[in-house]
Amino acid sequence: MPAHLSIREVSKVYGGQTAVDCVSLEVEQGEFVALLGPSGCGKTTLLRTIAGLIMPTSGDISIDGKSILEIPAHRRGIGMVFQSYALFPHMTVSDNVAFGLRMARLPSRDIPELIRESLRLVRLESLGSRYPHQLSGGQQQRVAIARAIATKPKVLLLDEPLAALDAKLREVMRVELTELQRRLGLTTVFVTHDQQEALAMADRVAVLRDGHLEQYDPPRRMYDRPASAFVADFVGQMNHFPGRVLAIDGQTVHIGTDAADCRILAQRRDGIADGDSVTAMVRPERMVIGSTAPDNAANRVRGVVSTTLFSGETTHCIVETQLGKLVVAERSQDRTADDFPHKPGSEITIAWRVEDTHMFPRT
Amino acid sequence: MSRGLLAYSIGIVVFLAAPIVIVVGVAFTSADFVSFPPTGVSLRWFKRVISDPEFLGPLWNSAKLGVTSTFVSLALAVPAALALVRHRFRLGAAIQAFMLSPLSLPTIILAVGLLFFVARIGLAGTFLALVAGHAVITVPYVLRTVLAVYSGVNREVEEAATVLGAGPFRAFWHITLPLIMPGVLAGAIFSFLLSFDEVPVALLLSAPDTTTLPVSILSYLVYNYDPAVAAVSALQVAVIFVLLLVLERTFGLQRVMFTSSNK
Repeated sequence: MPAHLSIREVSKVYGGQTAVDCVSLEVEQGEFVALLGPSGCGKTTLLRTIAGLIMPTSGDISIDGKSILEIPAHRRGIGMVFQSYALFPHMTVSDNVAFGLRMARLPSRDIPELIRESLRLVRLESLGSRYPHQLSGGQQQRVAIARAIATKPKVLLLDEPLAALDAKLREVMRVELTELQRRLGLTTVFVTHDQQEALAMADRVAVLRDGHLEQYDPPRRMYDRPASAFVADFVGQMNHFPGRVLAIDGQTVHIGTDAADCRILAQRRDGIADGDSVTAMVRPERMVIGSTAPDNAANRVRGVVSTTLFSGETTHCIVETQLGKLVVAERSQDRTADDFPHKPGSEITIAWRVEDTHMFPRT
Repeated sequence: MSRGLLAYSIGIVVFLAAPIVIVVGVAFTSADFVSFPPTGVSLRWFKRVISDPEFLGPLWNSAKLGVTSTFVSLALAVPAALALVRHRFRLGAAIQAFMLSPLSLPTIILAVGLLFFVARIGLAGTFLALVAGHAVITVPYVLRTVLAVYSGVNREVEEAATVLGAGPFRAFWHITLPLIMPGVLAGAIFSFLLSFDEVPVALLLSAPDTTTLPVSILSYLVYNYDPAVAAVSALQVAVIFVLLLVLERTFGLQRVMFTSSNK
């Protein structure tokens, strides 16, 4: 039975260091939430606090309205997949999966079927009698998942579950893990430093930095409307333009960039006034090269192509301009064979719309 | 291995094994006196020793002492090792150094100190005093082996057991203990062997009814010089050899003594 997880103003302080700083999050029943951030941002600490392996310094964590802080870790009914998988090396796959069931003192005649069911969900039915050291990394990870879900936990926690896998396997597991979660409808929180993973898998993403919650939104909204410069830069790629507000003309803000005499136009937003230091940011895929730019793309700059990086579906074009080195992303198929790739040294114009300029105060 | 190194290794092995070979050889002699090489092969001295209460009593004492002091040693060192590895606390290094300190103490000094103390509190000559003395000597060995093995156990494995519903005792019993068992058994076997073989503390602390085997061999040698001593020693060597073989077969001496991996 999936549960509602509530994290309210949780802090964890170690001596002089604040690992988690007053974080509040609500995870709905059946929701798949990602805790995303760079190393040391507190995401793993927060996860372990939910599991009961760490006691928060202040704040509360509750499941279905009831606080779990007083409940010891072995009685919280939570499933967890560790980064190292942490399989019991002296037990077979079946015994590993059965461990939680045995600890719960389920009748032993029910256990074999429950083991089979779990292994079937991760497609490892035939490997029950193997030992962990006889399995590949990907298989070990699946056993870890099977073991965690066998007890039908209220909440499932995953600590960088895909980090140790190679790129191809990671892609496969992303899909499998997401499908598994949907199928079981388990309330899930997973920790990752990989923003692509978070965007691809989660219903909502919580970006953490130095223990603070920077933004908590569905992936699309977070990508399109990042709440801070940090989130804008961490999630997806950005071109940066530090500068100052020169004038505000109706709904349009004129930003004078530090780099050159160029102006960048952005949409007005609250909290930014004339003379403020700001950083303007534009996503590479919002910049358009050449004549195909829409007419309302009021931001224009000329430049010279430096390099192109082909990565299959997308091609990144590095262009030297007055504003600095820009990265423009295009769909490879949008270019005809003749002008693909843009020849290094060719002169081009880059344009983007006013509403595609993100703007953040600069401290 | 180069020829020089091989020759050197053989030399070392011969040097170390020679006394044992000689003693065991003498034990099988059919003569009335100590002779090497043995003048004939016979089991008479073994038969003599096995039926002699002068040796049987002490043998039984040594066995009892070995087992008891090993259990005490385990009871002290295993929990200490677990705490030292998992909870890095300020006094940890100091406690570890303290528990390992008997290693750097000459045993005779320890024995003299114990003798004074034990006499003071009225426990002179008791089995309890011997157990205490031997536990002090053997704790460092158990601590070392368990520390080595436990350091190699992934902490997350125990955490996984906890999250899966195992309380502290069940997590220890089902997960930690099986994983540290090589270290525990190695430590226990070392402890028993050390105690079985130990002389200074046993010499000073034993009374006529708590004499250990090595002590009885020593006193026998004062007035006698015959192959009986060699036979007893050969039996002792056999016990040690069997125990070490068991350890090697089940866990591998190399793994347990020098490395901390638990593969």
